[in-house]
Amino acid sequence: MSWLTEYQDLPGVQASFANWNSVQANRFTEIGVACNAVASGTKGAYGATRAANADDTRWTGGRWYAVIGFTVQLPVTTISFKGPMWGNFRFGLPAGLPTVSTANYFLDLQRQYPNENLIPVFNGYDAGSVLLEVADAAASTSPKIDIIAVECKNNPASG
Amino acid sequence: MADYTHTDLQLVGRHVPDEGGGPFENMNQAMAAGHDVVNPVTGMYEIGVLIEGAFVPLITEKASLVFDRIEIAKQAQASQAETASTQAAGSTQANEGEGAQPDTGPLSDQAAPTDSSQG
Repeated sequence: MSWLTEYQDLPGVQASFANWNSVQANRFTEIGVACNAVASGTKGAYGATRAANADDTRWTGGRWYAVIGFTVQLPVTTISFKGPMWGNFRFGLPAGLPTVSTANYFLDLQRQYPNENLIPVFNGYDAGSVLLEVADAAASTSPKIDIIAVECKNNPASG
Repeated sequence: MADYTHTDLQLVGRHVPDEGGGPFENMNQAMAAGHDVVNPVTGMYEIGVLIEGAFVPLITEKASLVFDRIEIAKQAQASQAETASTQAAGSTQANEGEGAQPDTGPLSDQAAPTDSSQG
């Protein structure tokens, strides 16, 4: 089981999340980027972190990326993101279940809470600091993640 | 009558590891592929049928889960076999004990003639 908790205020953390309206206003294009993070050899534990640019280097420095979700080829318990732009705290969701649409997950979340800033944003220069982790009930599962993001020319989280 | 083209199909299973799932020579190679163990069980286990030599998958399961179950089954079988052999040994000893005189130990065996001569 995994779940996502929103903290309205996390002292010391200036997390980079944007509103969908701001993402739309700054949109340049959409991009899908592969990241082959795998689960741990120990069942239930998070596997080794894998950078967002470890398997696909098409992130462009200076462009901003609003992560709206990801796709997987195999269901896993949790896929999480973390990085300094989000205070190095994990956030993520269960992946590959028939009842959870992961491709637009953060966008769907935004639609449920339109006044919140719920879409994670990072700069292409920092793609190496965006770390993905996989946890699963089976050992060493490789879900073959494709991160779905909206590429923006300006930072949608700053507005 | 159903017009089956193939009957008595053979049910088979096979492990299909991930392309990047090893085997790795050392931990550095494993880490580069994202794994935290040198010999991860990756990929899927496919169960299917052979139709004229062609494998047609019916279901797939995460390979590590299948091999975990196999390992658990082996351990359970070994445990049962050990328990059965222990019980068998116990019952054999009990059967032998029913037809023999009560064993009071080597000292009593040696002492018995002495006791009878005295009596």
